[in-house]
Amino acid sequence: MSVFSIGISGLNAAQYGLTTTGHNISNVNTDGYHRQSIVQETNGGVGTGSGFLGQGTQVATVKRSYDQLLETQLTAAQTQAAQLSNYLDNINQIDNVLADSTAGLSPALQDFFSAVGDVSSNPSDVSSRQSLVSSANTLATRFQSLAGQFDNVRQATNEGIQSTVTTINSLAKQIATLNDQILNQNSTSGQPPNDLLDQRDHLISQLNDQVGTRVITQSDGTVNVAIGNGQQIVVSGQSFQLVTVNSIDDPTRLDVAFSYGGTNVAIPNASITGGALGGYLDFRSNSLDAAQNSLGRVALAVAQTLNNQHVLGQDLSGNLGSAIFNVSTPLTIANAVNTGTAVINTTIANAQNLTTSDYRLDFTSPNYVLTRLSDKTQTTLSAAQLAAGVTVDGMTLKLGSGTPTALDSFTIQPTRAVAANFTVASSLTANTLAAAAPIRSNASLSNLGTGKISAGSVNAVTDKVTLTFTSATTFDVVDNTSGATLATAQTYTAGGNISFNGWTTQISGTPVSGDAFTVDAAVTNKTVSGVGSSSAIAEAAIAVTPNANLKQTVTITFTSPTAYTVTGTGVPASTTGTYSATNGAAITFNGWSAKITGSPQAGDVFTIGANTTGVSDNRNVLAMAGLQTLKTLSGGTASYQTSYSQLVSFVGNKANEVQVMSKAQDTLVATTKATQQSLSGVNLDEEAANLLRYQQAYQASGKLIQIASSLFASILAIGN
Amino acid sequence: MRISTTTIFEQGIGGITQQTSDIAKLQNQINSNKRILTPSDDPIASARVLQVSQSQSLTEQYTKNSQTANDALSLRESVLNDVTSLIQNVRTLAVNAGNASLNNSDRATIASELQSQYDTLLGLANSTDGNGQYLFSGFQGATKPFSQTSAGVVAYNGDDGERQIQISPSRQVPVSSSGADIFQRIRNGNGTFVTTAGSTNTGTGVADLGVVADAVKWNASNRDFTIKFNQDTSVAPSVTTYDIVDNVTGNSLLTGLAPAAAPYPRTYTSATSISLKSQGSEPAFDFGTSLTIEGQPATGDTFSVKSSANQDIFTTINNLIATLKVPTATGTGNATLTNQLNKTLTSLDLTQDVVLSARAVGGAALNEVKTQQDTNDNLVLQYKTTISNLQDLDIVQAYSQSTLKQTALQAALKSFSQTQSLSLFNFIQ
Repeated sequence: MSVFSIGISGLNAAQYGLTTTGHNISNVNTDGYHRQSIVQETNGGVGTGSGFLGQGTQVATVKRSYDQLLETQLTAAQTQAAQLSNYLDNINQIDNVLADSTAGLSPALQDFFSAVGDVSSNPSDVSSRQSLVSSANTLATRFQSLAGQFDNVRQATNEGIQSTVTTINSLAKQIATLNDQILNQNSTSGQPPNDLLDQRDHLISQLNDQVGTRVITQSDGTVNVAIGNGQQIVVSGQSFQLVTVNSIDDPTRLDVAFSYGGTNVAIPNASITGGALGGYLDFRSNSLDAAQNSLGRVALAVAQTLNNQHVLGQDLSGNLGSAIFNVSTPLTIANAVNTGTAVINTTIANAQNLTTSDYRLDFTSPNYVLTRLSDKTQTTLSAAQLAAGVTVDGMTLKLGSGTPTALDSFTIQPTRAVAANFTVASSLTANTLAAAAPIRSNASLSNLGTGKISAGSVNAVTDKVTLTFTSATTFDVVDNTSGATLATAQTYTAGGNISFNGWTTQISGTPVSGDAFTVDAAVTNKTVSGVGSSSAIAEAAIAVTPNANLKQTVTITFTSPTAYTVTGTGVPASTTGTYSATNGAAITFNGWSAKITGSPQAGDVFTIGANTTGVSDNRNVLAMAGLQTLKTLSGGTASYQTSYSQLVSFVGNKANEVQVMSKAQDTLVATTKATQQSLSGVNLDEEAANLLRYQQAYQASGKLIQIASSLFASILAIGN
Repeated sequence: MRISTTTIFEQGIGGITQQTSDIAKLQNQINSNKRILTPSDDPIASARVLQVSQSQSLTEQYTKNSQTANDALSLRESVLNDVTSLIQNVRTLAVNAGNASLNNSDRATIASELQSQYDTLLGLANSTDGNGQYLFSGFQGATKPFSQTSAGVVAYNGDDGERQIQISPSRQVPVSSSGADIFQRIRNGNGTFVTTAGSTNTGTGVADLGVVADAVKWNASNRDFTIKFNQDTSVAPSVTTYDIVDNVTGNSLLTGLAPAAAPYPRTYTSATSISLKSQGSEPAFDFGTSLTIEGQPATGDTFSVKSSANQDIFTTINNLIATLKVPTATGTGNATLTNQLNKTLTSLDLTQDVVLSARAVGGAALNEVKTQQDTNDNLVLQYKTTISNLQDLDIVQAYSQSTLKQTALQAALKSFSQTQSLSLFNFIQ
């Protein structure tokens, strides 16, 4: 072997080195590029009598600086970061919607109740009344606009899912193509196609920005990529498509499905994690749904409670009030793959007991199971209950028609769409605002005693009522708010409807004498003061309809200072009562209650009748004003405002939490990336040094050839 | 550790971006003077702000309501004040009318003066507020409460409703009274019973108000009695006797039997108490009341004793006018006049009591409203402070932080540019 060829091998190796260094320098800003270096080795020796003589050098391969573990760590951190960052972007949108102190719900709610307060001060003033009607409209618009913004975010989420899926499909296709090329080059050259590998790794990293994946490297150098719970979207040179489909539970939301051989199989939302797609799905099910439901619940409570009070009032023309606000009924969606014909109707029984969750009703034959999706609480309901209508969490479920088959399921969204459909009833005008109470009391001018009668009030659904069993089969009903006895010796029938003041409930089991049940603003609770009893009281459903005889004149005539008779339409014949001047008497008939106090004399007469032309009466509007602070939500623990504040703090907390997590994840990504880059990244200073190194090696090898050449020349010169 | 060029670059830029975004946020906070820009900045405080702002708005509404209540009560007080002076005037006129030196025409003059007071009173009872709502018509603000149905007869068209205004979370104050309570529910007589001289009396007997010793006993009685007189002039001096008849049973209280002919069981002495309680051998009865008649009742004269009933102020004044218009010459006429004047004066005093107590209630409410207004003002201030503490920015701290961050940013910029200028390539010639 000659010095020449050794020199040439050195020249070649140095040239490879320079090329590789140049490649590194020129790719310093290429995403996904891993620095390359040549692996140089000796050409082996030739055995001579004097031992082995070296034969120069050769470049065995060009190696990229790549560590599988670091890459996997980085990808995992990045996909998580992408999910959180997308979640953050989305939740910030609703955070901002609620942030605006002038456009949020609070100011509209406060203005509305200020207007109610103004009417209560000046009930006959038409301009105050008109301003209440306007604020009611503003409130409705505010609910709609907030709901609209939530809907926009929901729409954007659907669109985001769609575009993410498109990106995933395109990336999968490219990865598959690269898999093919890599396989080709591997088999033809036997050397690793570094740049193709870089490209594929980069595509995988991009794919992980969209969705979390699992990558399995095959022995032939190709990779398989799986998402969700094992759906392979890339297998060697082949890619499979994901599609978006309408959810079978809820057609308004898009699910991601795996498309194979013409069939789409939906991938459960929960199994898709990581990347933008994971962010969208997580945001939708953990923040958006709850926030929108929560807003809907406030809207529903505002509408139901104000409507219930308003119908008990009387307007300027002397007519009973009608509903102020219209809200939509809960959405009940039959699963798209149901095989039975059952139609389930859901109505709001009592806004007070509603949660912010959605529900799923499964028919498990013969029973139904209702699952509250927020905490997976399950309630088993019998077919008989469904047929009759059963109240759970403030909503009444009833089998409307048809028959279910086993495994049929229904999605129930009690409050989702309420805020969007919150409108002011067209019947509400300055005139039809029912500010007055429909009844008033009167003491006859010829009364000789000192007895006084209270103005009288219409029994409200919010009154606290106690049902006390006087025997196993009879019970008394007392309105604790007015103190009046609503009924005595009612006959108990297990499961039979018991209705007072606009609510309906049922008692089941075997009550014993002394058992007491309280219906407090229609949240029911049981207080058993007697011996233990197995009976229970059902959640009350509210449907306020004023008593038909509400405005009939009822006359209370004292036959002695301690006894009175009551006559009038709606009052049972020969109704009498006893009176004690010390305690007074609370009297209730036809849906109203009034209290007589003082010392009436025999012959004294009190009447309660229609509040004709009572335009300056503000009793009903005062009661409406009182609803602002009444705890009408969350089982009687929160007012409208508190409930809305809970929504704000829920979204705020969630946004804050995601922000913190996202920041932490970004730090993790930065650290992992720095570690990965420290191995795989290009350092220009290092490359500069390498340039010098290879330049010098090249120069030295050149010198070697020059020397070899001069050696050869001196041999030739011998002949001269 | 090996550092790649990209890492140097990214870290440098990352630091600068972070600093810039921090400064931008501070700038935003300083511009809006708010610490909380979105609920996520401080979820708990954001929710609290909403709660407190509702309390503030509610309290401001109560202040507004209090003002309305204040106006209504003040107006009511001013009208009732006029009513008080009017009744005082009427009383003075009634006292004057009793002056023995007056002749029929003097009394007729007083009667016509009273007539004008009567008309004024009717006007006051029909007063309206600034919105044209009647003050004394209960819930029926648009209905004129008092209308004269025939001469001297006034009907009440309102109701017993009391308008209430909410001035605090737990307090509603009544700002109106039913006209019936002020002008109509006035007991005649002494408030428990009333003694009326028979219209055909010919004697000079004048009854006083009577005394109630035990109202419970009175209430337990039949509360409708007649005292009948007989003057036996066959002896000198004449002897006057009387009987008390229970009009419900028709029997004499003093015998327990159907009233017998004169002479009657009890002997009458002028200005001596006639007690509705058994004396001597009379059947036991005790109605807890007594009265005194002064003068000489003639045979057949009667005085009825009945429970006090409501007599409206208009009737009282009208009766007075009618009495004063009747010419008197005889002793009986004078006795009738005196009896009537006595009753009127009592009724006027009772009316005054009713009006004054209504004014007292209104005055107390007015005080309460004013106190509540002060409380509400303090509360609003308190709420504003709370909200400010919750969401407003500590401007000094924010400013110093902003300066700090700017310094840090400058340092980051400078070190980045210097690091970037370091390269081995600079040294390769």
